[in-house]
Amino acid sequence: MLSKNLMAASSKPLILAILRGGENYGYQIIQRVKELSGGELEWAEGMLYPVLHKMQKDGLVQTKWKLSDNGRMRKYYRLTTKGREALNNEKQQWLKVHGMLEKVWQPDASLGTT
Amino acid sequence: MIKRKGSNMINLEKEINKWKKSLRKHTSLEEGNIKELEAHLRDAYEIEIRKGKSSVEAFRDAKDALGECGSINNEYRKSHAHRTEGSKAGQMFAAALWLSYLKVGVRNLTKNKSYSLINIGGLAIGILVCAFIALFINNELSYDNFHKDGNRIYRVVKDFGGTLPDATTPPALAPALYSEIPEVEESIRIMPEWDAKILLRYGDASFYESNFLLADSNFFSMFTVNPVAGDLESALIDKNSIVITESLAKKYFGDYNPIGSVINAERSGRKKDLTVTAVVEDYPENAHFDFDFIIHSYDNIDEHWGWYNFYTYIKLKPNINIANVDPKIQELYEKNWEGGTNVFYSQPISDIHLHSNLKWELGTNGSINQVNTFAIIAIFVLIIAAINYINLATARSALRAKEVGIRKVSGAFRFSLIKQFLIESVITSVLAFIIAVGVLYFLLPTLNELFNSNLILFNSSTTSLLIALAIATILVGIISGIYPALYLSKFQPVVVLKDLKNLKGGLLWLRKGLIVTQFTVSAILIIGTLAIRDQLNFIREFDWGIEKNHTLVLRNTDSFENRDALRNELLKFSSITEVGNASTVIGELNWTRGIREKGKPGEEDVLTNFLIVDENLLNVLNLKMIEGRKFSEKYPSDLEDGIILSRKAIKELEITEPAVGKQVVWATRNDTLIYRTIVGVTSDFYFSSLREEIKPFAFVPSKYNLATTYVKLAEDNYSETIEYISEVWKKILPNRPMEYSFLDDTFAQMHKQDAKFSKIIGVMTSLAIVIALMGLFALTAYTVERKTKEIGIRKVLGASVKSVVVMISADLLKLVVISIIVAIPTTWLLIDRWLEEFAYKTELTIWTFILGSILTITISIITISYKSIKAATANPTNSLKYE
Repeated sequence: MLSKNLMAASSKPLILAILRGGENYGYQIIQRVKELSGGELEWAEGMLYPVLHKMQKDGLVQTKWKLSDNGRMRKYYRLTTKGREALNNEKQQWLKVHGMLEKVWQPDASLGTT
Repeated sequence: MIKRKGSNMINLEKEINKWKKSLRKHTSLEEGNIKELEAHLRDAYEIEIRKGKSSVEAFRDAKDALGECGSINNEYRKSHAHRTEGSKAGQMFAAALWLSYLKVGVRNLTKNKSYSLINIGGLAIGILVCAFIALFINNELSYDNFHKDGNRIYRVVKDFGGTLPDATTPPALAPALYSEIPEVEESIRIMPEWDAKILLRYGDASFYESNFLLADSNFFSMFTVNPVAGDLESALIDKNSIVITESLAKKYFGDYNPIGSVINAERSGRKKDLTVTAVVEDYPENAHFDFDFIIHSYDNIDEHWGWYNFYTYIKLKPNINIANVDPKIQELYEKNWEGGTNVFYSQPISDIHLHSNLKWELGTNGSINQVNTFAIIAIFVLIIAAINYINLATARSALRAKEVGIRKVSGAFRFSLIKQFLIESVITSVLAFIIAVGVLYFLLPTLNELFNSNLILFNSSTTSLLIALAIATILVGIISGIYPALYLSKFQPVVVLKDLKNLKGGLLWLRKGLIVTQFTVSAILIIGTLAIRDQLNFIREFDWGIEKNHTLVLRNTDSFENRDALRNELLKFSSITEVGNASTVIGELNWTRGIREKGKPGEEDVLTNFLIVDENLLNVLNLKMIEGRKFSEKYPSDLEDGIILSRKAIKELEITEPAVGKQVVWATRNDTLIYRTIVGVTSDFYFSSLREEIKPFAFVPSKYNLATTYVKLAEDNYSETIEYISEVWKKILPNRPMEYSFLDDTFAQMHKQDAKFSKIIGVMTSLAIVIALMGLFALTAYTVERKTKEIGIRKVLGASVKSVVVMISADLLKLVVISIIVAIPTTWLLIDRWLEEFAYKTELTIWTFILGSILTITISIITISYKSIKAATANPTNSLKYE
């Protein structure tokens, strides 16, 4: 199970990455996040929306209400240029963290047992 | 297999609405956010259903997966907070704050839809009524205000014989005023030639025209008329000139410029060619006279002092006080017309429409009393609407006390709370104003038709009016908002949060007072409407002593020989029972003359209305003789010296009975008195408005001066009869268009203003009732809401529906009853004053008041019971679960 804090921290890069594949609406995005987490998601689905809302405020995504096939209105999200930059930035940071963790978790790497 | 039991089915829309409602309680969620969450919920629900879950389970799971509203809201709030921290500029912050006041205001309005609807709707109706009345009054006050130097223009009129106010003056007056009174800068005569029709011909176009004036050539320097073509200064100098309005030009000439064209005019067989010298814009409707064209006046009339057919206007030199001129006018008259008994005086031209009600007015004038009445009603209605708003706002504010408490605890200043409440009420009032003006725009044509008016919503003269009304509306908004704002923001948060119930006491007296005021006004209007209707019914059923029903009047039957042929032809038709002729239409403007019994001095002249008639007319009118006989061909001397008087005339003339055989002085010709002998006396009959006392009347027989033909019809088949009449007309008078009217319409015309007044009062009353009931409805709803728990407990303990309804209604009904008690004496006084304007009036009966009261109470009960019965029959478990 992922901790709440970690989930919160990773939600932004996750959404950015999902949207890199094209525009999408809330329900689909959250389903995708669920799939990726392999069902280990502890978040309430509704919590996605404030995140999307904030990303929109920060100019990372653009939104548009569209009529879906079943006749209902859905709000679609799309990456902006700023969003793409943010995604790269996040990626760099997460990779750095990933690299750091990788290193410290090597069996032969000891943490200064001098 | 998917198993779906009935109990597992849910009403999805209802559930979603319930869920949305709970979301709306969270202030950080905007409508757009809620909409998005809803879309998600629906998607999730569908997927769950597809998985084979029952609808109840599917909805529950979808909702649960979405998460708890409170925490979603918190996340949203974090993103808002972040945003405000980010913008450091103070101005930005202030703007954002205002925006947030607005936003919260709008959110509050949409959250309580029914309250908002009643609030805005009620105020909108109030403003609509006010705006309409304001337009009406604005129009009434604008009469004859368009003349350049209008404040120096006066109409000179007289009291005929010193007693009968009359607008006509002798033609010699105007030139004498100009030449003999130095303060008079200019004077003019105009004359409408009552009932005369001129047949105008140009090319193929030929029409009978009756809306015209004869005028002196300086007409256009006295009255302001906008020229279209031609030179106005010289336009009326030539004897054969004619000045026409744009509409008339269009009618005869189309788009062709008519200046210099020759129009042929025919009147009573005489023909004349007139040259168009000028075209002017149509004369404004807000003037006390009107014309389609103006022609040159008569020649050689400057010395006539005994002929009353002209209207005299003067323009004073600047800075002259009219009070100094009036005595000079009288002096002038007495100097030129020895022994004259008329009393001359003047009226400012802009006062004529509302303040002048003389005989022979040039048009239907308004009445300043009516304008004042409407102004009072407009203010009443606006007050009711404003009271409603205050009432609802204070009622609701108690429910919002918690919000206020929390805001205060969170650090809100009192000022910011006041601002919030004020902004809300201003939004409401502005919305109401926009709705009112919008609705009025579309309703105005209908209202104009209903009230026989010609009001325009948007033009140059109404702009300032609308702006004033908008400001007044915003003021109402501010005033309505200020009480709850000050009241609520005053509280210590701990009091508000701890004990909500304590709040209601302080507001109760105010709320009750407001409801009583409101219903008092409504009750006054309801009872007043009924009483006015009583009087109109009284007028309708009044025995006028004359047969005015089923009587058709043919006009234009002057100067022709075959009068008997026309009568005989008409009488051949079975539905026509009698035909007679007379000079004019009785009940319209009739001629008057001073008469006295033979042997009495000239000062004892009694002003008497009279009609020149043939021997059949009295049969058509079905007048009853109380003495003597009607005119008859058997007595040829009738034509020479016969006269029939009404009983009232005999009484006024102080002729002792028997009157038949006695003589009256009818006229003076070359210093010789001409007598007529009374051949009969009719019973009293009424021929003028019932506002006036019955007046004396005389009938004089003649073969000449008969211009109207009265046709008595059998009761049915009007259309067939009229068709027959027009065939006969075509045969006997082939060159004249047939014009007819019904005598009862003429009589109805006398009380047209009263009927209009009643109609307008009726409409105002309905609107006032609607507004008052809206208020009562909302207050009931509020009471019920507050007492939900009490009702629940009472019901659990065994209270009946009836007792619960009574519990809710009793308090409110008590207020209605108090209102009625206040309203009854007030209405009595008001209506009594109104009725005093009538010489003949209905008795105010207690029944009108009882009926009005019952009506008021009944509609109140219906309004109250709707909500209270609903509350009383509700399942107590629901009400007790609440909270």
